[in-house]
Amino acid sequence: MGALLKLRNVSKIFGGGWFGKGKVTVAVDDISFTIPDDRPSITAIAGESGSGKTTMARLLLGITPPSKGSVLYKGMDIARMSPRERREFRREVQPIFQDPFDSYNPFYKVDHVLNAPVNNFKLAGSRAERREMIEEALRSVGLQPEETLGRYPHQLSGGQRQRVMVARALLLKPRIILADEPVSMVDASLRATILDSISRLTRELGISVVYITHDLTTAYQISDNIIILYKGSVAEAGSVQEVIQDPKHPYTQLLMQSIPQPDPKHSWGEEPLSASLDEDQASLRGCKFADRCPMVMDMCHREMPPLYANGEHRITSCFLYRDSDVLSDPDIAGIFAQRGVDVGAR
Amino acid sequence: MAGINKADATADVAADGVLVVQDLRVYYDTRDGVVKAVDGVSFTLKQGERLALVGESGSGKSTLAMALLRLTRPPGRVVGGRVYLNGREILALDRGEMRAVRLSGIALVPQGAMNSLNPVIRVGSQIMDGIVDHQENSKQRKSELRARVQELLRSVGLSPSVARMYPHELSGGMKQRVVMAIATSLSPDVIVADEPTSALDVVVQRQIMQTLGRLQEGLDASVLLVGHDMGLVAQFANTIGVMYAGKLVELGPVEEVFEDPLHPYTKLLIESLPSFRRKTDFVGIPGLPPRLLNLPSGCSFNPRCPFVMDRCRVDEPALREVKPGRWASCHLFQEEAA
Repeated sequence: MGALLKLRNVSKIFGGGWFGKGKVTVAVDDISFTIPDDRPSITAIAGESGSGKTTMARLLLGITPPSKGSVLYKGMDIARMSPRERREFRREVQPIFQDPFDSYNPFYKVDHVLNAPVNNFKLAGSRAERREMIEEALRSVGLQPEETLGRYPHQLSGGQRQRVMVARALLLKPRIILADEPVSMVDASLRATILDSISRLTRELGISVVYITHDLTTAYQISDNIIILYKGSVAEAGSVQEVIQDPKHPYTQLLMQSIPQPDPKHSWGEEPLSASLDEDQASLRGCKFADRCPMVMDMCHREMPPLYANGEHRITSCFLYRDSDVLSDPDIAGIFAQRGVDVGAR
Repeated sequence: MAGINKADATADVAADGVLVVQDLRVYYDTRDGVVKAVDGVSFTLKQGERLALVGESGSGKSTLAMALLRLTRPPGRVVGGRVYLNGREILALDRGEMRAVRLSGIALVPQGAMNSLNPVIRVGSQIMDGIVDHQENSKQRKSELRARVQELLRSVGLSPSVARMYPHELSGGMKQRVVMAIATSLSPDVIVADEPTSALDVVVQRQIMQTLGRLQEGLDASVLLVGHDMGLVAQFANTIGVMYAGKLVELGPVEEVFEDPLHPYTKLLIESLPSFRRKTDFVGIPGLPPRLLNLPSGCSFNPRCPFVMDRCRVDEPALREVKPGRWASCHLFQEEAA
């Protein structure tokens, strides 16, 4: 498979200070991951606050440079791109951010956010063509152009604003869309509609989506594969079916038990004893989850567990699975299930 | 079980429940007109009951919660209705009397605990503040107060040493626990929790909600949980009230409402929830959330309702008991009930 976007042994370290005395935060810790160019898919990057998921999005978008390793787009290091290549990268990799209001200038009509990319990238030959492109993009995310254009951002609901952002991303005919918590500020009744329009991008237009979220339920619903991050490292990754239906890493298991199911009969059960109250502890050596882990062993404090391939489409960074083979290629996308083959038609 | 008191039943309300809300109306005056954020809501909260009010943003659930504590701020104002706490009409109390009722009778666990604590005062002093403010003649000794603070911190699962810390030294979950310690410091009868876990991670969220549940059981208090997370509601509450455009449109026991929702809005809301059970196509609720300034005539939900009938566009349905313990405001059920 060819790589469209690739993280190669990427780490991002914040802090440290000039003399190396400050507190160091390893936001992303040696992660390799590929979005292939031949089969569009939806990959979820999931984790709690502090897991490094937003830093990973920023690395993938080229907003934040990596401290170690490199980010490659079509084989080119995005830090060393020529202006022309960078322009292409900026068009083909489109972000959708969390707050659909922050992305707008309140003084401009919503038309502005749609016209600007068309003009900047000279996508349309005439005003009429531009209008046609915009209307088509709006319709494809379930918005009526006549009800949307000509309005100011505050005149639209949060859900509409977020869908205009999806339409904006679509206009540029991107190869990849990076959606960072696109529905966390949107009401439940509209959440489904927006996620549906995002997953249709992959199904109908062949655009790969990286869905960054803290919500495993929606991640399960829309994605093919999932990466569970804990304090900057991959705890578990693989096809959503395997990871969500049968989590292997104690952290993934804790997350799954903690999610309040919208079903009164499926009770939360007793409080997990494992989770320590201080969420900020993490040992410097060994497994980062060791202090909170109910299954902790001596070796967990001594060294960091490698990625074990303990399933057909799954890897887990946990010594409980030390009988399994260690993943040979550090690129975690290698074990991902392919859309339509294992994930099943939806 | 919460029920709806008849609007004219003013006598002997104390027997009905700890908190009785009758036809409460809270409006906001805006430049463009009057926004009826809470428009004629009635319900009864029984002792030991956990009632969750759910709704989308703009449905009026937070406005309602604030009004129960008499914390409505301009441009909002309470236009009508009655709120009885243990039989006492609290909307009629003067400011001093209400101040005494807050915390000891009805207490708030606010949204966003990170912003509810004073950053330059130690946690212990902030917990003590409320207790000291409420004692009138019998002054407790400092050592007694300190012991009480430590007991409260332990009750929310924190180490007593947290009393000496400042809020910035605590994680989000720990701050939320401190806020719960303050809210329960005077053993209130009603705890109003307004989205108490928004912005917290799921693992912490679960711990906080289970702590709140234990506190509620320990005090035999009632909880009014305000939120939009149907998962939390399913896990925590025993009664659910669904709000839409300032009105209560459905009320009933949690299991029954999730199993067999009556109002079409509740039905669509529950169907739109993603779950782990199976992958399905997303079903959103069609149409747009209502504009409170310009509500449609008749039932506010009629433009989005798949079961809309002619009378829904002219005639506003009233909330009534459709089955024992199950209340809904929808014309689909008016005939059978009448």
